[in-house]
Amino acid sequence: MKKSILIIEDDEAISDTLCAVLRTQGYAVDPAFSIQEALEKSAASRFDVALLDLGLPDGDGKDIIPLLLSRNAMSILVISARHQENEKVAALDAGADDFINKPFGIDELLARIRVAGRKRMEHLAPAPKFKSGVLEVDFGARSVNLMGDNVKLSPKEFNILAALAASAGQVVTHRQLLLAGWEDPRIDGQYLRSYIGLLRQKIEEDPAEPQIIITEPGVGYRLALDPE
Amino acid sequence: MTAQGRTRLGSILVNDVQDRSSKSGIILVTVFLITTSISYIALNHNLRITSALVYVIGIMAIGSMTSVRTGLTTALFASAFYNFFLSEPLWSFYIDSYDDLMPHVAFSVTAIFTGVLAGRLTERAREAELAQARMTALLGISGKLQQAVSLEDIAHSLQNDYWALKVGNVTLFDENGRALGEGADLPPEELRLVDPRGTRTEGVNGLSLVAIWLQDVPVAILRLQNQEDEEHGRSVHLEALVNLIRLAVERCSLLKTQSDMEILKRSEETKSAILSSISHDMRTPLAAISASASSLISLPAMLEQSVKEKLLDTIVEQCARLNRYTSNLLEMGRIQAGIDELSLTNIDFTDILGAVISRFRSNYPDFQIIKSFDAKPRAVRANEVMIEQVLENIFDNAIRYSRDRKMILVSLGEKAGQLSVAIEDCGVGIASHDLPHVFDRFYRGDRTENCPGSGLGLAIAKGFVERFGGIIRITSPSSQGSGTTLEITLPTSKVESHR
Repeated sequence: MKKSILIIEDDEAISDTLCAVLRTQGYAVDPAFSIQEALEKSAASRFDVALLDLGLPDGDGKDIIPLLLSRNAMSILVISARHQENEKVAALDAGADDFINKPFGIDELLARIRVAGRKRMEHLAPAPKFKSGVLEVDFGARSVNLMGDNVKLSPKEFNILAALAASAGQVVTHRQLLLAGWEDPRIDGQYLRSYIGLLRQKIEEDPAEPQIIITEPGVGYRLALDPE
Repeated sequence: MTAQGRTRLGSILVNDVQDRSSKSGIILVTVFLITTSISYIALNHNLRITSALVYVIGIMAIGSMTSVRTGLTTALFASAFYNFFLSEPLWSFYIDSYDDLMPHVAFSVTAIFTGVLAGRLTERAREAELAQARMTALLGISGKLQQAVSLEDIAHSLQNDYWALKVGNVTLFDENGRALGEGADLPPEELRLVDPRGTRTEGVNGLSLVAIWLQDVPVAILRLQNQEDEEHGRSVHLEALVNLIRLAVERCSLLKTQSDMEILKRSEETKSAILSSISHDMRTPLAAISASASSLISLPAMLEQSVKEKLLDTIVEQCARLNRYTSNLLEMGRIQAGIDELSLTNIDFTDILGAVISRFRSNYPDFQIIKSFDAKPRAVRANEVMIEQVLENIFDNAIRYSRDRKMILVSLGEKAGQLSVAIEDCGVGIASHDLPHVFDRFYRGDRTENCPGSGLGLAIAKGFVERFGGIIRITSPSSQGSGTTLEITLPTSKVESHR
């Protein structure tokens, strides 16, 4: 079955281009040009993924995230300007799954949509383990394998890596990781950075130039691995 | 003469007047007694003319030392005294003979005239002295006020100099009664007394208030707490002083308006220069995009596949250029608006540097990026996105100004509470005359001609680094040849060990 995408974007040029390109990729696409229209369309039909522009003519896009999610268990991908890191964090903490900076290349967008669509399936049936070519995280057994070798992690390290792996390919905010590791979002972000450093020491080839746990400045971290 | 000298003169004059009033009585009596004695001795020797003349001299002396009134009084008194005590018959106002009457009349008339004349002369002289002192004091004030270039200066000189000169306390406030310089604001009950039309209002205890206007707008309020010495008057006319201060205030206000206009004009000029630079820099990539896209639409059949691909690449490249440019403009605006302390946190510099290197490595696979540092976290107080932007701008330059030797060296170290990162390329370098200006906004060096850019990258890097308490330095040619080295030093922040 075709995956369906709701494009909530007020600029017609961008919306038209995205609609045209995404249809060629086999998605069912429906554009909404305002918050009003987005709410109407999301009430009328189900979507797998929503592309949400934050600046809309009738309000702030991030305000409708909880409402969209309550109607429909879709994956929300926020489109925002790069410097709006606070806006991004707010949208992600409100329930958006990922963000993409404007302007973006189409490859990057398609990759994000693929991950978001997959994530949506996992929402329905959570996978017991994350498995990619190099890294394997077993959520139940709390074990981690790197290229076939077992990696010993402390409970906090495991919780953080598991949170990243559960949203593999998508950004996880500092707050979400602090909740995963310490169950308290008010902990100093410095502790999180230290643990990310420890994890990188254990799983990255060059911890000074990480390829697996990627930093998203001002927002959080992303596990840059595709599941098999 | 210094202002202090002038004021000292003022106080001498004031004291002088007081001294005279207290001493004049004694001198008067002394002169009178001496004259009377000489006159008496002369009469005893039957020298009546001499006696009368001596008396006239005495009266003239007293008149010259005092005023018209005292001179006249002395003359009349002396005439009566002479008649009663000295001239024949003694102890009587009666005059014996016609021969005695004439000298007496002559004596009296002469005494009165000399007394009055001498007194008037003295008065004139004293008035002239006072007028001189007033002039000197006014000149002193005027000279001081001439030097003032702002209302604060005027207020300052009013506070610090000995302005009393019998005028009392003089204080200047702004048009809302707020203190200019040190001191308290004008009390509200006094502020209510100020006549908004600018006429002087008098309050109790010799208080008076004047609003000073400039082109229909009140610019200052002058407060005078009068401590006038009733007996001797002021040595400086209040109105003259107010006028002097008014002139100075008007001059300073005009100066300020003029410099405000100047600043506004200059900032308008800067703005239009920036706008024209921006529109030029935006139009260039837009022209490339427009040319490529319209060719693809209009001439699809005539273009070879390789040309089409090249045109499409151009469009994507120029979009990236426009994006870089607009985000640079945005960051520039951010620097000018001031960076909020709240947006600064303890960040791991190594982490951001690693992320930037990783991204450039994948975007420019033909470049060799050589690192000489370990993954140890290095905390600085900054903003992650801004540090990322600083590093990206520097790497971007390193890549764009490299020719054959596509190599970038990155070193990172920490010493004595300072983190320092050096990014060195093997590119074209920077001409020595351009070096002092590379951090200026919109400045582009000689060797950048074939390379599109906004001239903002390093200005932004400098702005951000300095906001984080750091220093950015550029060296070209770098130690190992022709390229450029950018070095950033940032204070490291103390971080507790992790839990």
